[in-house]
Amino acid sequence: MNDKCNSYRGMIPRALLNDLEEGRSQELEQHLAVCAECRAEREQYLETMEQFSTVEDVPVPRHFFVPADARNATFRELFQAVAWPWKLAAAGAFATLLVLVGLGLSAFQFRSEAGVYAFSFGRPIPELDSSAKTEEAIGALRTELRAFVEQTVQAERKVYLATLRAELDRSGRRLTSEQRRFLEVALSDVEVRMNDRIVTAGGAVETRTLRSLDTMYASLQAQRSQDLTFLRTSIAQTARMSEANDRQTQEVLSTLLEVADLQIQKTMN
Amino acid sequence: MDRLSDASWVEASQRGDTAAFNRLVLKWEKPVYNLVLRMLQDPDDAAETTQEIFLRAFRAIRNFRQDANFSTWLYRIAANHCLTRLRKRGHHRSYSLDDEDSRMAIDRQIPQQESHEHQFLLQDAGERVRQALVLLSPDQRLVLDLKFFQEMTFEEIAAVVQVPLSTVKSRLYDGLAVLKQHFSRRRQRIG
Repeated sequence: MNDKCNSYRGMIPRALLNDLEEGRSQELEQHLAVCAECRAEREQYLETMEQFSTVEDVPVPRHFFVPADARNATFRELFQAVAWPWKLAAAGAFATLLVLVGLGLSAFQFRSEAGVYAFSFGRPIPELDSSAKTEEAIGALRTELRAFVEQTVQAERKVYLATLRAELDRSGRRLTSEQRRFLEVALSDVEVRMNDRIVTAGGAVETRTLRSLDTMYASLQAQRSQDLTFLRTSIAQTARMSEANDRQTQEVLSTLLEVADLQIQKTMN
Repeated sequence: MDRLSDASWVEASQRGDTAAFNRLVLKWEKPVYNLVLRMLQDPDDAAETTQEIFLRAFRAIRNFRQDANFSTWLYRIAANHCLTRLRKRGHHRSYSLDDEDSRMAIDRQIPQQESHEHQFLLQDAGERVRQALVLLSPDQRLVLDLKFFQEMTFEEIAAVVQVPLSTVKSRLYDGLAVLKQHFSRRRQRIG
């Protein structure tokens, strides 16, 4: 047997089943006429196919009629009948249903608001921020901020006034009552303006929360610095006036004493 | 005529007429049962599977389009059911008689033919063929059965098995070569 025989042997069953083109079939016949081995091969195929012809259908052991209610398939039969993608989808749906039932039985709660997620098994979920709650929270924050600013400004005011009073006490020893009253008026005026400034600042916080605290404090600081400079100038001026008055008084007293001394000497002489 | 009668029964079955479908059962149960028996090689299993095939066909007949051939559609259900059943049974391999291991495996599968030669001589020729079919893979067995026992054309077989024509032919010729070698070896042994 050679390679040529191999290729012809592949044609033999095809020829027997009429699955070979006419030209190739004739070519095979010509080869079989001269090749005993390939003829034997064809004989074996023919005998095998003859064996098939001996097979007869056996009678059915029973009839396979379907009952009248056969349309009602069980769930299992329906599941087996469908293609696998549908089986997969059905299994997924069933699993999802089971999970949902499980969550329901365990009193699962879930809430999602403004990007915040909360879940709980059994216990109620506390209220998340709603718009009303947000307004309330902003109001509370504003009040807290205002209280803080007022507290800070009050503390600074106390320190400032204490400084002023110390300055007043230091220079007030040599002041006349008129000068002292002038300074007290100036001081109370400063205090009133400070209080007004605090109220203004609180209002600004309340109405314009977007305004920078730094800007507000800078404004207060500038005002305080201006007031302080004014007071210091007033005090220095008052002190200078006081010293000038003192000097005049001393000179008058000295003159009077000299006159008195002269009169006493004249009287004694 | 056959096809016309099938069509009218199919139409009635699609309307839910069980009696009409049972006429189709009566007509097709024998070839379907024999196909299943040759595929599964077990009469009880074959009877149970045949019943399942007709039940499945009855439940699915509303989806059947009349432009196709009812027998092709029915054989498709039967073929798929048999192949699924065989896959569930587990491992199955096809054999080549070219190697010694395969020859030994085949000898183990048909022991009575080896040990009781006189029985082999007396054995029904059809039974011998049925037993020899176990040498083939389920795919080869199915194609060979549809060709030689159901006498279908290659195109009809391709429509039932739902594979290309070339695949049908290669499965058929491969299976045929296995059986040819098997039977020629038998003849040589007998004398």
